[in-house]
Amino acid sequence: MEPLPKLVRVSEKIYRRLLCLYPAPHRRDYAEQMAQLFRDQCRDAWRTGHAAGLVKFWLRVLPDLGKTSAIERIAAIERNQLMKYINAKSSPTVLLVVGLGFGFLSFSPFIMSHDLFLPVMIVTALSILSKALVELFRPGNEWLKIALRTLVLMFVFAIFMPAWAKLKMTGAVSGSGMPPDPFGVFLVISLMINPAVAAIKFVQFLIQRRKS
Amino acid sequence: MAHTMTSPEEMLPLTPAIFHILLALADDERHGYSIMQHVAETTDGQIKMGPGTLYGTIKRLLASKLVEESDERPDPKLDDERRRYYRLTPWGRRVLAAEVSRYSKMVKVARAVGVAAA
Repeated sequence: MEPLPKLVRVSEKIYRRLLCLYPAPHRRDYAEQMAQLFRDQCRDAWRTGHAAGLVKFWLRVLPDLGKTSAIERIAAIERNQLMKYINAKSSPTVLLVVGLGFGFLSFSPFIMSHDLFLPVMIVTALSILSKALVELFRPGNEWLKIALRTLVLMFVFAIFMPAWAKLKMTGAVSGSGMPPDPFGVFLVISLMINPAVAAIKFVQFLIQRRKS
Repeated sequence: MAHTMTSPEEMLPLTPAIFHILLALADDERHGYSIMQHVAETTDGQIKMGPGTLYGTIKRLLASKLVEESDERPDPKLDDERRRYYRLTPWGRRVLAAEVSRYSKMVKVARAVGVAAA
């Protein structure tokens, strides 16, 4: 086998370095083969056009590298266990139950007497916000389930909100902010994002039905 | 794209990269460079896949059981023994045949409307 020209060897070294753009499992399985294929193609490019051939080859390889490394990175994120959990069908319901559960918990005398009201409310707000965000990425044909969950959320919060306001007014809760309460605003925004997402999903469903 | 489908038609249409790789593996088992050469030859150099596209596609073909890795290794005197060889599975062959049949029908339609030469 003839020795490889220096430019080909340098190109291969650079390409091997660039392979770090791919996620680790992909590199483990395919990096050696990819580098080997790159070297073979590089050698062909050198034979046909020397330095100009190599430049042309690099101009073809770099977009390929950028595109496919991004695809593999996205696929790796989707394979991630956390993403699997988030994408699970039951995750919006779980988040709703957590949000409502912590909402109920906020009325416990123990929570109120130990300055835990604010942390509990933060978990409530984050749970219902996460529910809305997860639902935003659900398919449009799940709009009815999303609407039902949102209805339950709005109904329970219609009872919770005046009760919380009353607790604050009577001073039963310590650790909550004074008006204008930024956390209260965050809670209301987190809540109102839910019907907005339900409406978006319904519109998405209508558009998809019209297209099909 | 796991092999849970009952009919090859459910896998169609194939992307150009998948189609050409399956076609390259239809007559022989090949390694990556050999697949690339076959694709370049059969398409008059119109399709040139980079290593990222080739191995990304092979990875998905392995996952969907359309191709499999061959256990055979080349003679170290003739070729680099680190090369991995791939071959078409019976399921992959059925999917490829279904795609070729789809293309044939399209060519017939094109001929009927005067787009392709008879």
